[in-house]
Amino acid sequence: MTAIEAKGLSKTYISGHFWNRKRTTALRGIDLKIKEKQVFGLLGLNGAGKTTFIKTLVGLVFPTTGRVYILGKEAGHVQTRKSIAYLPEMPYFPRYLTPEEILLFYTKLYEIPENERREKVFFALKEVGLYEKRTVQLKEFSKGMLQRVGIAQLLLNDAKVFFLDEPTYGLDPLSTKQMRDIILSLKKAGKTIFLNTHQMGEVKQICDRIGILNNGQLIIETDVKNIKGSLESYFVKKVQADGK
Amino acid sequence: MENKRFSKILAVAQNVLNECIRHKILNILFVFALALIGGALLIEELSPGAQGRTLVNVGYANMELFGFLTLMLSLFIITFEEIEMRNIWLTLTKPVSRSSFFTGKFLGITFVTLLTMAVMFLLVMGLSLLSRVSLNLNYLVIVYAMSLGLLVTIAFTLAFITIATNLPTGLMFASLLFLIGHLTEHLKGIIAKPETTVPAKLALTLVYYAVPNFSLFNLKDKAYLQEGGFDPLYLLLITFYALVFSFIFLYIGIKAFEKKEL
Repeated sequence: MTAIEAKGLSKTYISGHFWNRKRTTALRGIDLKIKEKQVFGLLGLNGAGKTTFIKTLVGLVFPTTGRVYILGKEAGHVQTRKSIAYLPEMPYFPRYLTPEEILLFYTKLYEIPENERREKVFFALKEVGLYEKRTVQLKEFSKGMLQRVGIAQLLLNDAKVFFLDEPTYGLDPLSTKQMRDIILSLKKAGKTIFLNTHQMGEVKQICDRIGILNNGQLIIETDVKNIKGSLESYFVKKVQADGK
Repeated sequence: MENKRFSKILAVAQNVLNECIRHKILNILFVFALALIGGALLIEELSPGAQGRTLVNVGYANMELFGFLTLMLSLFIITFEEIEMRNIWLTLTKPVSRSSFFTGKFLGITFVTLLTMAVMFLLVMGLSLLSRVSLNLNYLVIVYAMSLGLLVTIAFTLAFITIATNLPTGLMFASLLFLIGHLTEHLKGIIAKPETTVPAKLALTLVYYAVPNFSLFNLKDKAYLQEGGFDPLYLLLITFYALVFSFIFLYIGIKAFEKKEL
């Protein structure tokens, strides 16, 4: 079954005032199908449209043209969001709340029964090594620790599809390894993962399939096993060949 | 289904309350208490004999101002953290509809504002008792009417900051509307003047009906004229008026928020 599907997806941002409108096209006619239980890595230069793509998939921005479906349902729909988990490039949280409070808030939105909420939150915090810090306000947290809270919120709802935007961003080597282990365990558990990353090593290690986004267009989509030699040189070759 | 929706709205509202408390927004009450006590001492110096009544008037004038400051500050902090700091990204990818989220924000800010109003009311009443001012139910009715005005203010401020491209612009327009809303009664006089041109009359009439008339909620100046209390029908009408305006602004805000890209 298809887990993620984009059909003719385009996105143009309009900015400025009505007398000075500016149009910026971030995505151009993307067609993509990702099967269930697959780990898909999206590669691209800075500004290629990777974050816009992931934000469209989770319903934070809306397509200008085209459609996006997650597990056969329209992306962004409340029912669809029950089955997904999203980690932005740099997760932000209300600074004066504690990890326990913010995660409990999320469990309420996920409609997790009251008697299971604390248990789920404690499990997630233990997984990312923040259980002991659960009552410390988030304003005291470092970038890496906030990223770990971001990872903890992924584990609350037993999601089927994970959207991870630069999941190892700002993490130290140990936390990076922990993050990779978590992604691998999700993969092992049969979850579908959509990964935006610059880390070629990560892609080679984790992904089944990759796509390269350049200037808003998906210029290639292939199985990782088809790539001979280093992924880095493959990526550079493809982007240079695209010439945009 | 509706039950789940309501519990999510409450969860968002509760979160707003927690954040406001942690941000020490309610510390505004200490400033209010200081302003009130300072005002009381000054009045005692300036108008011996009439201090009780003047003190209540000063207290009520401050209540409205501090209520407005509380809601503006709460909205600024909460919205700044959510939109500018992008906290909202994670919340809105959870199974909560944008309309529930918006309604939860509205309820949360309303609760924070009403809590502030209640504490300020108790402070004014405490000080009035100390000054031996005779109290009656009218004092509570004045706060009720004032709170209705703030309810409308919360609704249109939320709508404005959702529609505006950035937070300061939204707050600026909301403050402007708050100000115009307090002056709409004067518009009647201008419209009635024979020298006002027809296009100006039309434009002013449009503003008069489109902008909430806050003078309807100002009962504090009439408190001493009402011997036997305020007319219940009038109170019912201003309640209805506030609810209609709040609903319209909430609806506009929700529709704008549902289309807002984050």
